[in-house]
Amino acid sequence: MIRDITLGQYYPENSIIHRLDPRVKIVGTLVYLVSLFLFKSFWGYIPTMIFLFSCIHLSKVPFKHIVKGLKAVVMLLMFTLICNIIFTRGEVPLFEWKFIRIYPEGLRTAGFMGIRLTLLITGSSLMTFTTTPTQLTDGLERLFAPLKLFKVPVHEVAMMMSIALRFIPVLLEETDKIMKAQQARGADFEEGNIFQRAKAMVPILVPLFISSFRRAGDLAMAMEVRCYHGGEGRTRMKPLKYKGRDFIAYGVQLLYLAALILVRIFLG
Amino acid sequence: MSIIFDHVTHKYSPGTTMEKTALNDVNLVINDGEFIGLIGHTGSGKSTLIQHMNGLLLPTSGTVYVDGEDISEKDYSKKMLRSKVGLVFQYPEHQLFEPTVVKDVQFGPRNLGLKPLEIEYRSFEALKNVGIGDDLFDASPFELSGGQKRRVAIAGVLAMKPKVLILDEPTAGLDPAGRDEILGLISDIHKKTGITVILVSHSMEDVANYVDRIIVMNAASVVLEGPPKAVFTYAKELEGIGLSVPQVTQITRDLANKGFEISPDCITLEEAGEELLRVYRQRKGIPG
Repeated sequence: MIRDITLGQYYPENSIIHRLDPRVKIVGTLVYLVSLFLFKSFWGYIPTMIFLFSCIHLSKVPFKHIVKGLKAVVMLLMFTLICNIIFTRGEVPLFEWKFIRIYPEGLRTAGFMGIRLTLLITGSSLMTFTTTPTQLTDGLERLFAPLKLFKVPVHEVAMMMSIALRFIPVLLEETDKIMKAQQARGADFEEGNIFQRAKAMVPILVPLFISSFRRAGDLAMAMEVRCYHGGEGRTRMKPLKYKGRDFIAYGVQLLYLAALILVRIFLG
Repeated sequence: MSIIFDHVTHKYSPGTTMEKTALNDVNLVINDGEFIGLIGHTGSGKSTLIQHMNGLLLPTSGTVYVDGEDISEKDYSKKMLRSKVGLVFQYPEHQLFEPTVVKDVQFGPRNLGLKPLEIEYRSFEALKNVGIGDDLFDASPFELSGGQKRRVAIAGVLAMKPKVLILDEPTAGLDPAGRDEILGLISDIHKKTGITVILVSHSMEDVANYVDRIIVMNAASVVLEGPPKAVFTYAKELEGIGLSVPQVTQITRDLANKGFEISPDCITLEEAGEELLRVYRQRKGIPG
């Protein structure tokens, strides 16, 4: 079913990672993504994996759930792997068949990239697993607040993002209902060639678009009657505030980064 | 054509923290030609139950038999099943998509792969059966009123000529007049065609007048089942799960408790009116 897509959907749990300030998690994810590109040898994967797996362990999100989320990007992973294996050139080919030549360098790059991509996706989805969309946009808004000096509409962008994120589950549920209503009338979304399948989407998309426009209109009206006028002077019900654990988390991030830099210097 | 639920359990998102049991060991038999009211509070499992009848959902454990066949079998044709068991969802907005009313009604028969002439005939017949005049045939379904949309949605399922018609909250969001109209229409269809009708509702008021049998659901299980009068004798239990008996039944029951010689289980207004008149005449000594 459509609801089984787990990539990046919030996983409710009460763990230390869930309770961290969203800003810490956003910065942490950025640090982690950058750190993945800091090293050139396989040694670097030891600290990155230890860091990621301890975060996953602390977050109490079941490992099975995370793997399930990865299924959505398997195609992308496979594509990258195959491209790397085929197109990387070296000196002595391991294997030759017609125009395909596979070099040991290709296999090495493919393995390297594969692990890197998997860690990258797992790392960033761990953030969305443990942070609600509202917290996430609040955090982003605060982190990017200095850009207001350069007339960047930070609040508006954050509001648009949070509305978009907020409506993803609503629209998913709606799609599910529409699909069922059409299936009840004998619609078939699984059979036929690509054109027939594309045509079979029309009975889903038309009601979905109409209802999204209706929802957008309703929401705009509801915001207007509550006197929404942008970010100026707007206060929050739950203002973000750093606590002791957040500073500890920043400290851990620094230590992790330092460890990786050491690995880079001494092991390459 | 019968539908049998044999120890059916359904769980959403099994094995995660979001796991939710929507049906818990449900046993049920629905016979040919019955008019059934399925009642329960929001979240009691009604919608999950009806989606098992046309194979939109399959049981996590247990078996659903339609016409004696297990619908979970791998080679069982879901398309066939959906032409036999028609399901009309609560919101017509979820299914209307064609530029004209007629075309929309033809979507179902077209999916069955019928001949063009047959498709046309069925769509006209279905629209006539739900009381949509031919002046609206070429109107856009999005220009219709709420009640009209709902009728077009019902016609869209009727055009597939199902043997069982299931309606999920067909009266939600309608005014009292529109509600009576839709319920009267459904009752007429039942009488005229003799198909099995299952009416899902959270209101006793809605179904009491029309149905032969009431099935009451609460917290993922079937808790009560029987003819309306029998079910309404459990007024206390019904109130306990957030449902109530119809107001007329409540009044006649209160009167009976106060010592009036009135039958305590009147269901319809007419019935109650006659009973009241009879008691009144008896008291005043007016010969009936």
